[in-house]
Amino acid sequence: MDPSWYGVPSPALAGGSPIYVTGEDGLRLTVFNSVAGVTVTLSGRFLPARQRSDEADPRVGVFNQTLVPATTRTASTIFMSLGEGWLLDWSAQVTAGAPLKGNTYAILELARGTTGTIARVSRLGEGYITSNVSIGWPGSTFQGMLDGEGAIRSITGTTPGAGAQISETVPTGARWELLAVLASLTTSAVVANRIAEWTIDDGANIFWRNGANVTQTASTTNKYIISEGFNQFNIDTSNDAARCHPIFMRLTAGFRFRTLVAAMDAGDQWTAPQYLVKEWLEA
Amino acid sequence: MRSCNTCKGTYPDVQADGTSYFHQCPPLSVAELHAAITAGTLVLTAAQQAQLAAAQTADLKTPPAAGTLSQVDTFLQTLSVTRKNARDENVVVVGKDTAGNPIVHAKADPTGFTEV
Repeated sequence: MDPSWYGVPSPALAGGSPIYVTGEDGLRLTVFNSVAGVTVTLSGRFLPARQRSDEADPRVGVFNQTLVPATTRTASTIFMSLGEGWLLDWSAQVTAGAPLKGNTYAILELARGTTGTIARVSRLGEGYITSNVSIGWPGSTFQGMLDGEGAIRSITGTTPGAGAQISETVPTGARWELLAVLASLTTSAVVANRIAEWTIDDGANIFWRNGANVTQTASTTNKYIISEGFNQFNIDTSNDAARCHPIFMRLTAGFRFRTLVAAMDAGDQWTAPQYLVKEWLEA
Repeated sequence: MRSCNTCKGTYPDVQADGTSYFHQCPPLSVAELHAAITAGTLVLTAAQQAQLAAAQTADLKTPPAAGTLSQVDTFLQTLSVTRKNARDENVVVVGKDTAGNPIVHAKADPTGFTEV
């Protein structure tokens, strides 16, 4: 059949690809990322349209463009013009760095405009990517930011100043499931019975709290633990006190977990909390 | 490691897994609240002052047993008071550059940090 019947330049069928792009369309890659050292590469194949009837049939070309995303979990983007023709396939993959699934999320769109107002035409794919897991077409299914198992992260928090409490905040662009926290409190020689509690709040209002049903005296060190769905116990022979919090409790950006110690002395000192979370990106 | 010039907390700005850590100063502890109220540097609202006075009266009437919370401490624990010059390194998007990428700043950084 004569391709001109379709009103588009040869080769009209273009290997069966349904993604015909005009010269105004381009690929816009957006990446959200939390890990340093990551490079994302967008690659694929493109068949240009023949522009003049007297030119030879165009050949399939390969495109390749890299993006080093910010580590602030905010969007980093690149735009790539393709010209007129057919997008045959594409993939976005981590080509440097070692993010876990849950650390780096890519969105590929067909868009018009490189600066100012950018018109998103259609979404071609989205999902978490690693050095071994890519998104692409054909083949990939769409995955939302909050889908999947999340990245398991072990985090060392802030060692508070003397007499100050632990307070850890879910960072901008993240959603956490808090799995476990451990921190030690060393009390000063000032005689008082300290009572330590863990709290979780939305940045202002406490909605969960659970305290060790035991006091801590002067010049002692106790370890305080919270863990998802864990048996609670008070001070044991290792000076550990464990409390549990509800399973699957998700915390969004700005939510905090904190300690509250009654009768705390200005010389009491918490260690940095070590905590385990599942993390998803959320934007 | 960094040391916060406001709260004196110390923290790693990059975690072992390569992710950035965003420090936010903790609210005042009960001990710090006691000190700030005594020094007059923390002004409670009228309602909070009334609650504190009621708690003090209750503690005078029925002193807390050893190992139990005083009514004053119970009340102060309900407060979440941001410390003066509190820092929050979490980012906020303040605009977009010509390529459409967000321009981000720390939410609050009045005093900065010291490398330690």
